[in-house]
Amino acid sequence: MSKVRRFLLMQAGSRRYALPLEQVSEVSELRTLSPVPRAPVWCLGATRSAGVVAAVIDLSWYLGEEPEPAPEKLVVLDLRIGGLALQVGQIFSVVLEAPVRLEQDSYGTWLITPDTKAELLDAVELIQEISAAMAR
Amino acid sequence: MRVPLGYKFILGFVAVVAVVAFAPPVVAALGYSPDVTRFLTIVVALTVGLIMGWLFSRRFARNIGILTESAHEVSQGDLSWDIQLPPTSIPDETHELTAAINQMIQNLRDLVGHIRSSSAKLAGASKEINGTAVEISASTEEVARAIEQISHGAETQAELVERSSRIIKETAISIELIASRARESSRCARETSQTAQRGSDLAGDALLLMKDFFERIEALSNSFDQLNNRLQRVGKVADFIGEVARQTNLLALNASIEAVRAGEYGKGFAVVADEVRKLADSTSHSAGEINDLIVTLREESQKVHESLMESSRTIREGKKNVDITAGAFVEIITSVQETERRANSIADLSQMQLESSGKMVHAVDEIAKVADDNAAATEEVSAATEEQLAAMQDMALATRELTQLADELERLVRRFTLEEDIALVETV
Repeated sequence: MSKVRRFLLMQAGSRRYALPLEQVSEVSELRTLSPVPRAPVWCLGATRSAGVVAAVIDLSWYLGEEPEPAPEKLVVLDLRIGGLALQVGQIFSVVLEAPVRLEQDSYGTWLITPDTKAELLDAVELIQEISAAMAR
Repeated sequence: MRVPLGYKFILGFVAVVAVVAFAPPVVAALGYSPDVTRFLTIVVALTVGLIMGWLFSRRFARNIGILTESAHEVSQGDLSWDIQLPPTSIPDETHELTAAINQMIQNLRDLVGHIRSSSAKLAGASKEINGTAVEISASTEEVARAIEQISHGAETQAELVERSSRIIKETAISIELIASRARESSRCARETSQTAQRGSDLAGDALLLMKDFFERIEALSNSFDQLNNRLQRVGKVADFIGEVARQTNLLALNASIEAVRAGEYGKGFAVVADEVRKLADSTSHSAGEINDLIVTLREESQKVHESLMESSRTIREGKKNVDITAGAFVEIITSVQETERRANSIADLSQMQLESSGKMVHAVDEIAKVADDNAAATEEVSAATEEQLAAMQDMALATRELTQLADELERLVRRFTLEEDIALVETV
């Protein structure tokens, strides 16, 4: 019996992204952030989640677009992978893998649903890239 | 001593006879032969007869010659002198003839002088008459022209009077029409007054209806306010439900995440969390729809309220207009009553004008008749003046001819030379 995967669909800037639900720790409302000195511009500050300090980044701004014009939610990634939270726009839904399909091309992996198409993010790679970027 | 000429001839004849009778004895006493004596007697008788004849005829012939010469000069018109015969102690008929001729010359002189004086006076008078006639003729011409102008003016006046009469008749007709229209206006004004009264009553009813309408609108507005307040409260409840749904959705999302993290043991919980999230989504959606409906309702009710307020404002304006209309109806009634009164006054005045215009027509007809008479009279005067002008021209012509005759007479009379002419010539 195969394991059913779940994905969190969200809007960041003009694009839609999907995160495996097991890589998400919490979805919350926007909070008051603590500023982080000498951080990149897309790093908005730091917050606390389940006793762990997580850096909050503007996902749209980080991925090369303009800053999120209408931020609504804060998606805290699995704290076991790293202390990182993403400020995004609208959270659409949680979708199962079964009614969707995954496609991969040279630009990345895409989650295709009957209604939309979202780029599949990997929280591990994302945390590594952001950690490397912040270390620079 | 006057001796008639016959007596003188008889005396001479007697002397010749006496010589013839007494000569032979005288001659015979001379002693000549009978033949010589006869011859001498004849010669003496002839000589004595011739001498006696010469003596007796010499003075007579001289006087006759003088008279003949004088008569010839008188015939030439010379009246400047009297015939003077040589003085004699024995005047005869030649002296009487001379006196008579001198008297005739004197009479002729007086006559010629009188004729000359009269002809001169006649010439002067005729010239004056001619000048006066010319002046009278000129004046008569001016009078004729003036009378012609008067006649023309009288004709024009007659035409104008006729035209005035026609115009006055037309005016009378117009006045009659005005009177008729004024009566119609009065009747219309009365009807308008009644209509305006009805309009005023209707405006009063409309004002009452509007008052009732405003009360209902006010009640409806209060109802709308209450509805808006309740919708606002419903909206707040819907907002609260939406917020709860959103929180529930977030909780369900996080519950799903926790269920995934719980692994195989969280599968049932994940299903429940999904259902809760779906319910929350549905609730949120319904709350959103409720909010949308409330917004729509509020907008619609606001529109209805605004429409009612607008209608109320419009009707309030309409009420003002109805108030104005009611006031206007009152003014119209007053004005129309005044109009009716004035129209009646106009009708009465028009009737008076009609009567006056009738009298005026009659007077103008009289004037026209007088003008016609005047025109005819001036035409007659014009004709008489023209005749007078012709007569004056004839008189001027006659006086001119008279002047010529006087001049001719004077010229003829000037053939006779008078003493004053000689004195004048000698003076010159």
